Amino acid sequence: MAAPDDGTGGDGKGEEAALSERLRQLDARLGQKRSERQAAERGRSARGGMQGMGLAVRVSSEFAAGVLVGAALGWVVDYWAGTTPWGLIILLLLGFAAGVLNVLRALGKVAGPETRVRPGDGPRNGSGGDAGRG
Amino acid sequence: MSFFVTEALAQESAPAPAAPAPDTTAPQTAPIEPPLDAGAPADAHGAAEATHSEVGHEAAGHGGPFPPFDPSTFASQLVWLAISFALLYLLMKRVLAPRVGSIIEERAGRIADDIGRAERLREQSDAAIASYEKALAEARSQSQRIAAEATEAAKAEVAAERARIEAQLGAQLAAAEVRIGEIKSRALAEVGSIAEETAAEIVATLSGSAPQRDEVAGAVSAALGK
Amino acid sequence: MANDPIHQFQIQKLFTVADVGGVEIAFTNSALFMFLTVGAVAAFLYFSTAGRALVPSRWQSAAELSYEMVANMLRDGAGKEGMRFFPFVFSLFMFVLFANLFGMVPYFFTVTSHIIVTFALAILVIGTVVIYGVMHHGTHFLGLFVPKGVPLAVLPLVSAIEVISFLSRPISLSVRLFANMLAGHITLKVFAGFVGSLGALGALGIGGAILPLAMVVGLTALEFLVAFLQAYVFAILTCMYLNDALHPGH
Repeated sequence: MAAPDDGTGGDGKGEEAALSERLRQLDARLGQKRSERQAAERGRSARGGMQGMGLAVRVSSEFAAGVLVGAALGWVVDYWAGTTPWGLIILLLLGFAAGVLNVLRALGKVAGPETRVRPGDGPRNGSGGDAGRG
Repeated sequence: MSFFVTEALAQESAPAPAAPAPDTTAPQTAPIEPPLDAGAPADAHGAAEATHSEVGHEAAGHGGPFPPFDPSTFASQLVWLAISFALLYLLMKRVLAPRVGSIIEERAGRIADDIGRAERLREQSDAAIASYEKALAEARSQSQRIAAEATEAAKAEVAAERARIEAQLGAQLAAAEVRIGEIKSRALAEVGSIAEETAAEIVATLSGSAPQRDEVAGAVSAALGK
Repeated sequence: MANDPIHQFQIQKLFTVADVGGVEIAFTNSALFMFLTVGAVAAFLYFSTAGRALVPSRWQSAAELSYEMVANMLRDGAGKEGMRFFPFVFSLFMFVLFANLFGMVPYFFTVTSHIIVTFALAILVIGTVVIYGVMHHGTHFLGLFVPKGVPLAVLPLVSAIEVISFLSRPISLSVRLFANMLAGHITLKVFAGFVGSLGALGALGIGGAILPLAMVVGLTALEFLVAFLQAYVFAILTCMYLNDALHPGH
């Protein structure tokens, strides 16, 4: 009675081993797929090189645009109000400040306006404003 | 390629738009353009360009308005940009973006489905293995239990059988003894009568006369009783 | 023609369509290339996905890649609500990209090398931001210019700077694209002109033309990168600005 029981048991073990081996492989492959997908998810938020180059392209023109708009506004104000050259001077300075703000914002040094106006952000707002003015 | 087409077309259509178009910049640049153009390196096209009065064209690079800043072209560019971009936007919104998007969604869904199904199947197979092992263990323990039970039962049966047989044998023995006792006592009882007969015969033979029965019986029983 | 680096930016009238109040509306080579760009974008996205293959072909995967890039850009930049602008941003990106790339083909006109085109696109973006922002947030949208937590004394100054900063957006957006395309094409043309004129000088000239030729090859590669990068920057800034319209402070 003991002998045949042992025999079937041994046979079952062999099959079981093969089955569990295949299961283990499947498990490993599934885990790999899952981590790949997660890596892809993460990867899309951190596309370093492209963003770096994009930033480099942006920064130079952000500053120039600020100054340009300041000067243009100054010129328009002078033209309409006849305050030559004060409008130009003041708005050029403001434009300069806006240009610096643009650059700092592009570099992520200063919070954007959308995060800055969020209530309950007191100290960070102050520093943002300071940096913008500097 | 388009340049040649352009110039040919422009040459044909040149007189027509030049006359009605009251361009502000056209009169300024028109007088100076032929000599400048003639001296330009692009003299092969000089003649063709000089004939049609497109302002930005012949003046560019020769002191006239720089073509990208030439305001006379702004209106037409804006109109066509608006039309073409609106067309692209509509196409994108109605056809193209949903089309590409649906393909990507489909694939993402399919992959997620496949992985999900594989995981589900794996779980099922895990569960199947677990239940198989459980069943196996149960079967094993049950078989052991059954074997033990069977052994016990067999033992008990054998013991009972033996007890029964022993009891039976004992009873038969007792009955036999009783019968033997009976037979013995009967035999003993018959011994008296046989002895009486024998004694009577012997007496008859010896004496020639048959003795009284009572006398014989008394004599025998006296002899036996002694 | 080959030696004139400005010639490539000429607007050439193909035919006049209308004359509105003394302003002539003509179908020009610029308009032709706008429509070619639109046609190419539509054809690319339509025919590359004709197979609807689960395992994409090279063309299909290019189309999907561009789609996913813009979609991720928009999702990262403007959140889930930003996806309603996806057709707009994707159109902008593909239009600018294809216009830039078309400009790389010899004798083709570069639509994006004209300030009015890039400016119109930038105004379209900012206009969308302002209109959507005002429509959905009303005066709250103006909170963009009034940072909270700033002392009242310097608030006008900060607001003025914020306004100028906001107004500089379409300028930087348009001038950057325009200037990059213009400068890149002029540089290419000048160097190509060197190659041509040096090569025409004979054996010595051909030897001397090798350096400018190498420069032209390098610059062409750089220009392809710039063409893509400018479209990318244009789209990513559009996403950032749209974010302002969607979430002008809570």
